[in-house]
Amino acid sequence: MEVTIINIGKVHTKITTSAKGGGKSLEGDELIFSLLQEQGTYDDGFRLLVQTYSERLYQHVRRMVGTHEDANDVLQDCFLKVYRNISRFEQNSKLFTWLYRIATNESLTFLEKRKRNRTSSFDGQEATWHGRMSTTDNVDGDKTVRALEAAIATLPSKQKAVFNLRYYEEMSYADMSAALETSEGALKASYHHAVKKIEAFIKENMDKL
Amino acid sequence: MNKSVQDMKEELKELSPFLLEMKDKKQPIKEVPEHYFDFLENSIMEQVSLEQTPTLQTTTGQRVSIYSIFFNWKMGLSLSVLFLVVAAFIFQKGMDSTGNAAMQFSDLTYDEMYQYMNDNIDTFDEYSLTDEENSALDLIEINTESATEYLLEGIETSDLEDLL
Repeated sequence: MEVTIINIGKVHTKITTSAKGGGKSLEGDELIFSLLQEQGTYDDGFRLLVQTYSERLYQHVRRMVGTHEDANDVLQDCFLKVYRNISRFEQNSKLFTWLYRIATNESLTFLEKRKRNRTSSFDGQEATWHGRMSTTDNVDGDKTVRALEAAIATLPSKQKAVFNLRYYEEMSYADMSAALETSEGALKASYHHAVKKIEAFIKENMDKL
Repeated sequence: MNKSVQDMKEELKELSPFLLEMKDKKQPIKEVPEHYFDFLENSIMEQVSLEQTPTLQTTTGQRVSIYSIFFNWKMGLSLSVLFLVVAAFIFQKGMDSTGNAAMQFSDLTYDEMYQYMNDNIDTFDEYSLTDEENSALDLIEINTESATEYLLEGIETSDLEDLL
């Protein structure tokens, strides 16, 4: 089998395979899977996966954990986990929902650790929303964006993940269900509740920002 | 606009027009340092280069392990049924042979058994001819003391005239 990889920018890599005179062109996830199936092209496939999904996953992780430094740490751990576990991935589900699942779980684990550390260092004091706001480093953003970020920061971690995936990533409930391993009904209820809480928080605190 | 985005906006319009307005006005993208994604890619590839390369399991059967076959439920069920059938067959066969042997033994006459034992007496040792579990010899420990006691007791209870 002859394989030709054509780089057309970062995400638009194409591959052409030909065997016994026939040839076919692969793109996107199909191309990534094709490369990951061969020992010799595995690293190329993984590199392509990182190129394709790192920006989307970064935005999601950054919204979950707040700062760039933390997002970088979580994202690196996330991709290492992907590298080690890709052999377990079942190709009948969507790659991006699987990646979001890993990224969300890594972010939640990170937030849980951070919460434990803060609880011990603050001797049981609860962090205020002003404190949480300091973890979102959008100091240059306009007032409403800052208010929205402060409001999201007050949500419990899992509800925050639900809100972010729906509001920012515009993911369908079916995909969210696959990514978060939760029923669509429960996700819908969680999202609706989060929206109401955020709206109430912003209206109440807009003047203080 | 795809259906998922359309659905999300309609849902948000019903829930909170205020948040929808914020979303339409500005979709905040988090700023990242320059060339960060190139750095991230290289850093990750450097870290994974130290690890053993795994491979994605194919559905075409190139690298299918025994483990995965066993945990394929259809294959697992088939193997279990096959195992049960074979086990049942072997068990049944064992029962038949034992039953047949018992019948053949009961068909023998006393004379035939006596004749067989008489002809092959040399092949039996003394233990195989006694019921070992109920043997009195096994239960009583014989020593000098107990033998003397037994004899004295016998003398006391016996009529001397009978001995003469």
